[in-house]
Amino acid sequence: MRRSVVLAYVLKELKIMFSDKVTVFWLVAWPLIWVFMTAYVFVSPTAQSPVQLELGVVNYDTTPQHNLSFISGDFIRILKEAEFNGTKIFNVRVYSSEEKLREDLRKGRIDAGIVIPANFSLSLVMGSARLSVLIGARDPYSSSISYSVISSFLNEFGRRISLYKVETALGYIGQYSFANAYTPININFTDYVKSFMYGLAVPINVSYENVKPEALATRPNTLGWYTIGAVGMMFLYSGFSYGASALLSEKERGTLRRLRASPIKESELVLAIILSGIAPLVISAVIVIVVGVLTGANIVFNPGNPLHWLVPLLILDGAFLSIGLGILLSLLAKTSQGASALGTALGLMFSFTAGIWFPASMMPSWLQILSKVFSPTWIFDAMRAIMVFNRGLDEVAPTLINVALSTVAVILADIAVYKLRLKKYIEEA
Amino acid sequence: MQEFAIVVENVEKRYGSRRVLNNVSLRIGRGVMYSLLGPNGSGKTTLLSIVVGVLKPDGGRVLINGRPPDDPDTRLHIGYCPQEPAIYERLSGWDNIFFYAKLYGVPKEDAYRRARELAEAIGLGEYLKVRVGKYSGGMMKKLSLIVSLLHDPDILVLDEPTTGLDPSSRREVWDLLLKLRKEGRTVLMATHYMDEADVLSDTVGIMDSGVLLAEDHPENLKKRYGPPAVVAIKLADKPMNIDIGKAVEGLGDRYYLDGDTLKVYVEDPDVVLPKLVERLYERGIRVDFVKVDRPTLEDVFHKLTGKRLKQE
Ligand SMILES: Nc1ncnc2c1ncn2[C@@H]1O[C@H](COP(=O)(O)OP(=O)(O)OP(=O)(O)O)[C@@H](O)[C@H]1O
Ligand SMILES: [Mg+2]
Repeated sequence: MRRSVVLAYVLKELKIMFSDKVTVFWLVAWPLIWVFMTAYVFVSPTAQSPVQLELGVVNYDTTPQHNLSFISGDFIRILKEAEFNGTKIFNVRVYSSEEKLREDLRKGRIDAGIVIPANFSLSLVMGSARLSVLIGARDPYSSSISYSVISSFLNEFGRRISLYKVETALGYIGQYSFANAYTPININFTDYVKSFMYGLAVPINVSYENVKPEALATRPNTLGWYTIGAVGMMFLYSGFSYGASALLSEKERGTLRRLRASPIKESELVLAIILSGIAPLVISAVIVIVVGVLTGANIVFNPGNPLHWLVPLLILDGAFLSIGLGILLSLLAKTSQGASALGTALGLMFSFTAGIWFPASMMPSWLQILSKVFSPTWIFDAMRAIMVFNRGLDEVAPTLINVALSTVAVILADIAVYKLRLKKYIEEA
Repeated sequence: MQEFAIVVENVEKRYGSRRVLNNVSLRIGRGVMYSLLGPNGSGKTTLLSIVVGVLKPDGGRVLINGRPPDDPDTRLHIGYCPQEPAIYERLSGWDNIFFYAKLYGVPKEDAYRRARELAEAIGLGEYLKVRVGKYSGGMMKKLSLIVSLLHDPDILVLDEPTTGLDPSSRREVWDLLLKLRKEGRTVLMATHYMDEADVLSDTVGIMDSGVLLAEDHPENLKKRYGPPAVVAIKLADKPMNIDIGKAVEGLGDRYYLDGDTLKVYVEDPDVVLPKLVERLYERGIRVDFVKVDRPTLEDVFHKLTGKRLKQE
């Protein structure tokens, strides 16, 4: 094996590849587009702040309000001030009539409306008040979002009013004495009534908490997951299409003849072709990962952790496996263009279905098997485990053994296929 | 030192049930310029591919300087220029040159100097900086030839080196080939131009349908297979064939029409020519002019195969 010969071939291939804008687009621009889409559209930086609803309010409550303890004006003020994580929940617009409010709802100018009827304040203080809520439907999602936001706001609001009323009632009760009244347990009667009435107001105190898997919970981790996914997607379609077409395009250019007449050995040629494919994939992978980190992805390379030194190997092996599987595809193709198109199509298909771009859990269960048997997936999952989720050797070791075995299998299959192809192409050329 | 630079012994090649090369043998001495002359599909490219070790024969063997052609050391001695320009269109002329030079272990400076000289000789000099994609077919052919000579090989195997070149470029390539031969190199070349084979070669091998029919110095071939003379009569109108057959009867061995020129093989032109013109006039065929030619390799080929070499 003469290194200078192999190197000359790789440099020649790189010059050819990078002189082609289309190749550069697929190699660098396309995966970056997906990194940016993920960072700024799918998992946008504002995605975790709550939606803000455009809310119209009409107030028909004209009761003189000076001697009431709670008035409709307070209700509107609370609507305007309600916040979640520092963002206002409602952007309140006050309307003079229900007709105007309905008109704007129909035109999609607001998401929802609340109509406060006459005597709302009085009814609220004296007993129970009516309130009508109108939900707009700008699109299928907005109505359900508006509904759940408003209903949970009103639930909370109703609960607070109840508590407020309990406090008021307890104030009155406190003025009397019930020395010998019956209590089910041995406590002071006033305390018993107090907790009984609190219970009326808030029978169950529910606390809500969203529990997501630790892994995907944060935006940086999600971006890390998808950045590696973008690298994987690019490896698959580029590697498949290069592996399937490289030798065919030498044949079509007629250069295979000259190469075969030159002192370059068969093994040198095969190695040179594979390395020529690996080089641009690795270059592009580094670019995509760096850009991913700049957009906020949590991808850590920690030189102090020996496990992290597996990552360069994983990247190399991922590139090799993609090209190696592409070489097997060359059995199905007649022209380099056909081979390249087939490789790109299959590469994209596998990255969407085998857990490389979309998480495998999003696939129907029969399809999830694919991600378990498709060796490139193991590599990208191992990269994620190490660099994004900071897992230990014990968790990635089994994968690594499988990766090594499948690499050997692909190498053997490739040697067989290339022997066949070289002979066939030379006869046809 | 082996006596013969190239030895081909009983080579056979089949594609499926088709025999493309049928028991071909030839021996080319050192410093000899050998041309394979044959029409399209006669097996020239197949034979050359086997000679340079790109194709394996189904039978027989090839020795280059006494060694098999696919031996990496042997390959360093062979300069192979395929029929189609085997160069990378996305690279410049220089990039192609330096890439191939590297494969043969030629240092960059040597490759540069040699490519310069060759490009001067065949008129490609200023284009080497340009991307090959912008070249004409002839320019690619020239670059392809330069690339195959970079490592200073002593055996050249050239598949139709002048096809697609304009007449003045053909001359330049011819001069280069003659100079290379003078330097003592062995040249094996395929061509379907009989004038090229005639002017350049020490030996011409005539091929048809995978068989090597005859091989000798062009003059010897013409003496052996050609008629003593060829009478060429340019006709004023395109005549009917039947009339000509009658007209020629008893005067020449063979005749054929080359466009509007009637060619007749004759033993003794002084006697035959006046009679022939007379017979044509009798049949109302008018003659523009008449000349007596020496036989060509075309005539040799016609004699051997009954077919004519296809000219472009
Ligand atoms: N891969 C192949 N499969 C089948 N037949 C082939 C193949 N390659 C060549 N042939 C046939 O072998 C014969 C010889 O072809 P070859 O290319 O050697 O001829 P040639 O003399 O070089 O012709 P040309 O002047 O057109 O270059 C042709 O009839 C051709 O059709
Ligand atoms: Mg040919």
